[in-house]
Amino acid sequence: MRRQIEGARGVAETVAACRPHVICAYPITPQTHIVEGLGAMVKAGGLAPCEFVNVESEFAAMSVAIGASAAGARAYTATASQGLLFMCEALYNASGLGLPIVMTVANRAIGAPINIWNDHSDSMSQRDSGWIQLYAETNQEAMDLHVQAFRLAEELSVPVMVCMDGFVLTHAVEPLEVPAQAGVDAFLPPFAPRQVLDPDDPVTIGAMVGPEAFTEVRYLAFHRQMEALRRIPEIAAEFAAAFGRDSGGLLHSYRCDDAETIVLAMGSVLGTLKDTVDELRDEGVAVGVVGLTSFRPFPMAAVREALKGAERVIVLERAFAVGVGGIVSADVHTALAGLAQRRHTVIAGLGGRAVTRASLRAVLADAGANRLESLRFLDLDVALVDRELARVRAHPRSGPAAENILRDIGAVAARPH
Amino acid sequence: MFQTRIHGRGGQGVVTAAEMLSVAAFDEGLHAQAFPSFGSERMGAPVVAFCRIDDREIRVREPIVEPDALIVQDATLLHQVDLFAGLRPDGYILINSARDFGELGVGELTSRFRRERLLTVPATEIAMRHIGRPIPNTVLLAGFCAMSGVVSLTALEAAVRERFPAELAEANVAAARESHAWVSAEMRELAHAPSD
Amino acid sequence: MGTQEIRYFQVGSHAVGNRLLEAGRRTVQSDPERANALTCGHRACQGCGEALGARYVVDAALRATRGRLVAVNATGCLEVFSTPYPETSWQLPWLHSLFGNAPAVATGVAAALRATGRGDVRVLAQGGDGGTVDIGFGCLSGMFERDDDVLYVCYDNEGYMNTGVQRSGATPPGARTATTEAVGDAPGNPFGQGKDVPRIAMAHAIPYVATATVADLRDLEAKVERAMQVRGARYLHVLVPCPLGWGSPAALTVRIARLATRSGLFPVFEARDGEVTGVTPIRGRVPVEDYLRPQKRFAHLFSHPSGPAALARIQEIADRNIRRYGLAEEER
Repeated sequence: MRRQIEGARGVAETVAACRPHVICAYPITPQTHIVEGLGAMVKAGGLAPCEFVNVESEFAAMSVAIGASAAGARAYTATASQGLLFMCEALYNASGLGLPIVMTVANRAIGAPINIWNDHSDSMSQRDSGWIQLYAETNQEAMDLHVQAFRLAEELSVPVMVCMDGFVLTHAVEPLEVPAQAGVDAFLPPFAPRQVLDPDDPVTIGAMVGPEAFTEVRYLAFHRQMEALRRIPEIAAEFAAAFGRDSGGLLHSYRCDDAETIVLAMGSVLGTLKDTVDELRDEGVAVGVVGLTSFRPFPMAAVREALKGAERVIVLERAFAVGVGGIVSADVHTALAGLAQRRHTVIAGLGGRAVTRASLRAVLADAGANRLESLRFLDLDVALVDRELARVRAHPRSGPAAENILRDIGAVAARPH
Repeated sequence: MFQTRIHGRGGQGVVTAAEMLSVAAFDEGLHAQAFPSFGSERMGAPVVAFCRIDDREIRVREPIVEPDALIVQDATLLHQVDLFAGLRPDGYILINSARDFGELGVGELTSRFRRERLLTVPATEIAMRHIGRPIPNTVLLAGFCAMSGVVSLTALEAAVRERFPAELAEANVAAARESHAWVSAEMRELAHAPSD
Repeated sequence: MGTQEIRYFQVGSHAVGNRLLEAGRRTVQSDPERANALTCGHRACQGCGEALGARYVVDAALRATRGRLVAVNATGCLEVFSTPYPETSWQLPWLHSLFGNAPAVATGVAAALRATGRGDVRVLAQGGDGGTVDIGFGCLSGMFERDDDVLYVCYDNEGYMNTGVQRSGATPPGARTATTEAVGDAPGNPFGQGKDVPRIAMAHAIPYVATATVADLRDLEAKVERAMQVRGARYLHVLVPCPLGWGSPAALTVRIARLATRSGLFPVFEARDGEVTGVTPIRGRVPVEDYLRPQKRFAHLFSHPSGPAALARIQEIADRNIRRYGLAEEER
């Protein structure tokens, strides 16, 4: 049954339906409503025998999840931005140990400068942590992906992070359907761990592995993610059959059949992109969109198949690799190796700057007129940047760049002289 | 698609207002998307919330830059923030105030937009009388219903009853009805009055 | 009638050894049926106090819990020497995650056991001083504050030994480590404020806090046994000399631990709900020099001009401990 509820609420109720045993949570904007919702449900007794642990840091959150999962419990946590970084060591530990933890990342920019709004720099920073990364386009998909995530994680013994845009999705209220308990129970068998701390059958988990075997253990992690490439679409298909909705999978294409230009992106910006594409198609512009859902593992073959017919590929991303350029672009370009296409990277929406239809139309117009550079920062205020560069050249002690720029745009009071 | 932008300050229920409007629209079988734009939690800071209503699925996620309607919960924002940016020529404005547009110092708006769609209602006062707290959001939403006709008062009342516990809900409903009547009366006056 | 020579075995006090006690009062370690949870073949140094302490603690915990026990271990000497790839010494379920998260991981294990209907299985967390008083301190405090059902045992050898004897928050003033060398005007570790984790644990008012050493193993086992009778957050701080890091002879580990208690520098006590409930009085008090002299990490105190003043300050610390805990043996 559809209800008009907040995205975070939908995720909380869906996670609850997955019957977690241990939920550990540390608050960070913009994930707070998810863990608050789950905390209230546990406290009211509705999720018994689930335990909700209020931890003292994100590092503790992931550590509690590690202990819980190793002891045979279905474990869940959620974080964003700085919190994800703070648990970084534990992320690698969880994936290295092969623990099927599921975590929501409410995508938010990483500081400095401190910024609470949406972009993908947090999850992107952990793309090599060994976690599977799935990016939701809508709140409904975010909810559905959690159900699929537990299934995927427990089958392969690989942790999964479900990424959803902070504020844009988490705090949006819209018509959502929480998967029914009976359906989730049928879809998610009880957690049967591959390894478990059990006094009746003691094992040592977490031993040191030397040069003799490290490569093989790490290769197995790679192998499991390649397995995931196969299972992700299969699980999505099973989900569709069970719940009547297309959610998840590796990627999906929108109006790409005869597209000259295809834009590839992840997350909530896809909704705005699709509206833009519809407008442009009405005007006769042959443009399409590919929405990438699985970023890790990266579906090389599927991406190549989806994009190979276009003359021009634009990868729109909400994070970037300092000193290089695009992050997603790098993997996309690997997938497209050898194809004669024009390729562009557009870095957009950093730190919560809105990606608008107007800006997207302008980019696509520039692309069509061959005015689009290979790397563009969307809506960059060049004059603002130039003024700061001039300040730096003029004064050795030019002050904190962020404050200077904020003063320049009037967000901070001018310094009295 | 009908796009509404609500302006106010933290603590005035701006985000709840957008949410309730979306629930009312949903209850009438429409698609609705409500979302806030705010900084860290802080009472008194300017807050903006958005609500899109359509008869089909809403995919776009950008902030509302060309609203069809503006609701201003706090008149002290009028001269501090450019609230009216992007308002469509046929747009509606509803301001929480006992004074009119001229007295509020935004009389020039009447020449840019349609006079009969620029309305005020003393929402805080009405809220205080019925609810006992200066939270004007439901009162303004009721005025919005009267003003735009996008969502019915009945649907709004249902949304209010879903959201608040019984006693508080009924107080809000009473306040909503008074506001709806007030704004409807104001609209009738403007329709019969000579043009300024 | 023949004569039979009887040997008295020293076990850290003037009492006689196990052989002359009735069965119920013998140590767990003297029982051939003990779990032997940290079995032989591990790679600890000769004379390692931590290996001794861990063996006693875990076997005692397994007896107290009738084998229903899971262990969580921080990175450190104990973890490294007990699980040299591809072997493990542990005979119980054992998890090693990271350096700084053992308390939190243990919390997770305890929550999981309850949530999956195995609340009878208990959790033991183990870490060295580095993983407990420094990098794991935040997690430790969180575990205490939530009163999670975990017995946390800190094996304190007063430094980061596994990585080459660097200074930790538990390193005593004056001690030489690789990052507080015995050079300059004030050789060795500076006189800081110290980090008295047993008292910090008491400040959290958790159900059970105790200190112990490897010099009185019966006392150590008894404290583990008592700790396991209680539910909630419990903390045991065990002094374990490290011959390598302390520069002491491997054969003197137990004796040096005893000297630490006899000097007053390591008070042995028990506390419940934040209040001290029992102390082990000092038998045969010694000046701090007797404890410090056998350790090369304090050698500079006996040769450097700053030595006498430093020794006096260390003696003050011991005196204060004795006053604070009432450790002075009553006159007989």
